[in-house]
Amino acid sequence: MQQKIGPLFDLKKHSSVNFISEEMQKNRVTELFHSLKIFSIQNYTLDLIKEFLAYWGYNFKMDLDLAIGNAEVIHQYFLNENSDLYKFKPDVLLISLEHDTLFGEQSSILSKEDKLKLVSDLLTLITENFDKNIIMTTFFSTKFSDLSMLRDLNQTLVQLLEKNFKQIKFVDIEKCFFYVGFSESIDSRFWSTSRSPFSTKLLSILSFEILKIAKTLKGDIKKCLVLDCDNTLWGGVIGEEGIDGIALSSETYPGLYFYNFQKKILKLKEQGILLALNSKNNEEDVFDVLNNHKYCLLSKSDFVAFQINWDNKAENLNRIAEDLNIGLDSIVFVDDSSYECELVCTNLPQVLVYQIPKKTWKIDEIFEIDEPFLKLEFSEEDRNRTSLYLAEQRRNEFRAKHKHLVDYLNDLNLQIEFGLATAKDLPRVSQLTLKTNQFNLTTKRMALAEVEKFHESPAGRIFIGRTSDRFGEQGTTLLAIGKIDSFNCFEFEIFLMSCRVFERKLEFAFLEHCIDYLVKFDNCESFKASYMPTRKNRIASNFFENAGFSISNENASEKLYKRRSNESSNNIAMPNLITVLHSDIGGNIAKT
Amino acid sequence: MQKHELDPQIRSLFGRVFKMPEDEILLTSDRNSIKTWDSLTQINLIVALEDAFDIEFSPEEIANMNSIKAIVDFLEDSSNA
Repeated sequence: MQQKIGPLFDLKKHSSVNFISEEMQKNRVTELFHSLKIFSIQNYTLDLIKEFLAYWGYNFKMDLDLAIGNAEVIHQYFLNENSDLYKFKPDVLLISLEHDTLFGEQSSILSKEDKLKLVSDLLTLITENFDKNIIMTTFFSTKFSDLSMLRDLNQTLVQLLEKNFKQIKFVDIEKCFFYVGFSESIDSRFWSTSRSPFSTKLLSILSFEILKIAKTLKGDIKKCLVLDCDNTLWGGVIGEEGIDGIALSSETYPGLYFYNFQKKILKLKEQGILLALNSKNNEEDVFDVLNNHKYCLLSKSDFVAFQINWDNKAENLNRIAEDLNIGLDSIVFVDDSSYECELVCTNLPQVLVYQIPKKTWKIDEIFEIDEPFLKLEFSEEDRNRTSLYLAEQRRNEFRAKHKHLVDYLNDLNLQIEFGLATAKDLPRVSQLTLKTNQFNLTTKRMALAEVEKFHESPAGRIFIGRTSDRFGEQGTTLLAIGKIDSFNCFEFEIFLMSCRVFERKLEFAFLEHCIDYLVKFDNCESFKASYMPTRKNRIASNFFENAGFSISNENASEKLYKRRSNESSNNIAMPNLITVLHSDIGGNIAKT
Repeated sequence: MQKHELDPQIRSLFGRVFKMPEDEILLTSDRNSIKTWDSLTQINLIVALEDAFDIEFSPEEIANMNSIKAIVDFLEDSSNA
């Protein structure tokens, strides 16, 4: 049987070691799995976590490879370029420190400031020598009596991370202790015999928390929540019970649970998650509730797509993905019916499916621990996402009124605000590399820390394009990242465009402006680029050919291109349709 | 009751923990003959046994659990106690 409910942590079920069973292996949809390599450095024994990470990794569709290091030799990992850490090439470095072991005998004399100074020095060493993702747990101790001291210390630690070490994401280990209960979290037998402090319960939730962050860092990001209506947004069936008969209320059971769920959904929308409906109903019945029910928090304008019909729900989901131009793997689907959930799981294994619990009072638990939409960086674009998609729908109607693409583009009043990325653009830059799958020539992912490092390097250039048209602004949708080598050659390592602005020839105009800039201000004489095919980026497969580059080498995994600065692409008729504004680092805009 | 055969429940538990076919686990198997039985597996084994039989072993007992027979005897003793 396919896994029906997307990873849902349940302490009762997952308190002991859960092995990946043969049945799970058999149902594994190989092409949906990503590999994840974690290197863990800690000052206690954490080997036991292996089985838990593997199990939860499976549930998050990741094949896990874990290497366990030792904090006693932490300096060697970073200062020796042949160290086990560098040889292992982890995607994620995990750091976890037990308080008493770290500060030793002195721990009672040291002030909070002294302790943090020590940690800060250590983290400086790490971040200066390692630019991939880092996840750190907050401090813990095996003694209950340390709790208030630890809480105070951890609060300051988190502030330190947020201020000076933004690239380090933290796992709140106290939250894990809180969830399990302190007395159930520590196994003092294994602590005394093998310095292995955690009970299986704690290891299970800790693994879950670590992977939740790791999958986000690997680019597994959900963008859209698709909802059923009856017994999901309200209790009962609207077609039978009518608007006055359904259960939805801010005060009374069971309507309260649906009201709370709607509140949660609305909060996700505010964070930039797109909402859509997929329901077997009459459209007018559903819209009647959305528009007129006293306690219905969600209104019609909160949704960007509707599939309210009697069709197969898997087909409906395909249509929604197509309408919104997003991948099925960025969709979360919620329904109360086992039949529908199973149908979607079987036909569209990419979609993450949640089933509304039969026990109404358990609805509050949905998305609580598992947080499928967990997001670590926020950008301005996130907050406006729904209105961006609604503008897209108006644009499509406008497109339908024009016979020829050229006329349409002409009337759109396209604009690109072109420039080098500044510090405040970097979260969006990282986000674009993580989320863009289609028009992405190399699909190289960059964590914020990597982007920041790149931004500081003298030879690195990060170009961005903010686009707008008569229907509004789309925000930063174009990105090119590359380095200038000592032969004045610029190599495009990343070139991508958000799916929001497809089919407007913007990519050509943007590329030409990158090249113009590099020739004018950096004396670049030649350009290199590459295309690496994935399952999703076929749309970009001939981009560089069409942009005047010639192929210098080609094999199954890569096409390499070059172009001289004095060659130009003759076949681009479009840029005169596009107004390009140059914004310099100071934010002044000059028209060219 | 003298056991010459492994109880199916415990046999399947061993199979899962040691990641090997159940029928290859014999009453005479020990830490030398089961390749996957390292110190990490030992803790997984203890936890799985404690979970399945609702018992708690002391560190001394854990240190002596080095063969299938020793474990089976332990479980019998604790259920008779």
